[in-house]
Amino acid sequence: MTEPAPDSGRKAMSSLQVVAAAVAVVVVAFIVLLATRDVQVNQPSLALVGQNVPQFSGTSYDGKTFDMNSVLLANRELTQADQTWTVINFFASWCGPCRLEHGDLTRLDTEGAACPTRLVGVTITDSAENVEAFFEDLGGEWPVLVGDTSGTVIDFSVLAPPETIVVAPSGLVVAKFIGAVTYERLVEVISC
Amino acid sequence: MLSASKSRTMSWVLMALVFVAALGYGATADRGPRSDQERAAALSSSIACPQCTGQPVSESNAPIAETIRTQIKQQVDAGLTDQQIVQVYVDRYGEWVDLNPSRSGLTGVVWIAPFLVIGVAIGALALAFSRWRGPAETQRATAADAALVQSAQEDRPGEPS
Repeated sequence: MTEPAPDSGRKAMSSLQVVAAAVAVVVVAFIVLLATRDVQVNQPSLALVGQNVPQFSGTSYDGKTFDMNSVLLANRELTQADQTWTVINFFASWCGPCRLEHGDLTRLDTEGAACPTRLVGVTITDSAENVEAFFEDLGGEWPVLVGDTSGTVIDFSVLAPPETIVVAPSGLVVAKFIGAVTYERLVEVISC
Repeated sequence: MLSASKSRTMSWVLMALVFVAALGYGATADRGPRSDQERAAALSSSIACPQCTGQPVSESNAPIAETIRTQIKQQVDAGLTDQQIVQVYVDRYGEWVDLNPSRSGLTGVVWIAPFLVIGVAIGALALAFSRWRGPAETQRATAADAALVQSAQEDRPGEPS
């Protein structure tokens, strides 16, 4: 009988299988590692709380101007009892929850809190006319910044209206509320 | 003339050269200066809309997406680099808004993974091809074979041996 041919065929096939198996193991490990990683997606960023409030300024729908820095500088000249807290409400006239919380904000504006508090609104993709109509309809006397507010909106990591930020007289951000707020929740964080 | 195996090697080398040249050209050809509009559009496609599920701001009608698109245009006009602009949004919203996977850490592997896969595939194919061609099978007749043939020839008289 002829000698059987050298066994290279079978050896090469098994090394191919080894390569395929190794690749499969690596791919599966890769998939498992990536799938189980903790990725924060679409979560509102609360990183601002505990930091200094970003500087911002603008013009209200009724023509008045507002500048955050001026408020903080003025606070430095005042006694602690007179220093004002600032509540920044990111808002839009087309936003449903904004209508829901408007009563609570109006109550804060008129009744106040334990400490002097000023309210300022910042619109997101809205127009002065709509804001004016909204406030005529539902009341409220605080300045609402209109125009190009994109820088401010991004600086405060806002996802969508309504979001409300409470700033202490020193400029420290003490709370960020995502969604409609209530009067009770706001006064709870304002203490002097 | 070249021998068969030499010309085979030559064709592989030639093919590799063409492959590398084409890859190089394709990767560097359209590196001309991009207009501001192109830059803004490219950046808008690489920043996720924070409020949406995985869509870039270029594809979303959400107000925050519109706001970010406006700001990207302003930043491009103001002369910020692409990296600076992306960093603004990563700082405000988190690493996840950058739709290009980060280049460091475990996710960085995805950038070279295609090349690794191609390399492994080529290696595996080369291994498979070598198996099919097989080493030249030179069967050598053994002494027992020669004896068998001899006896068969003797059994058949009249046949030329």
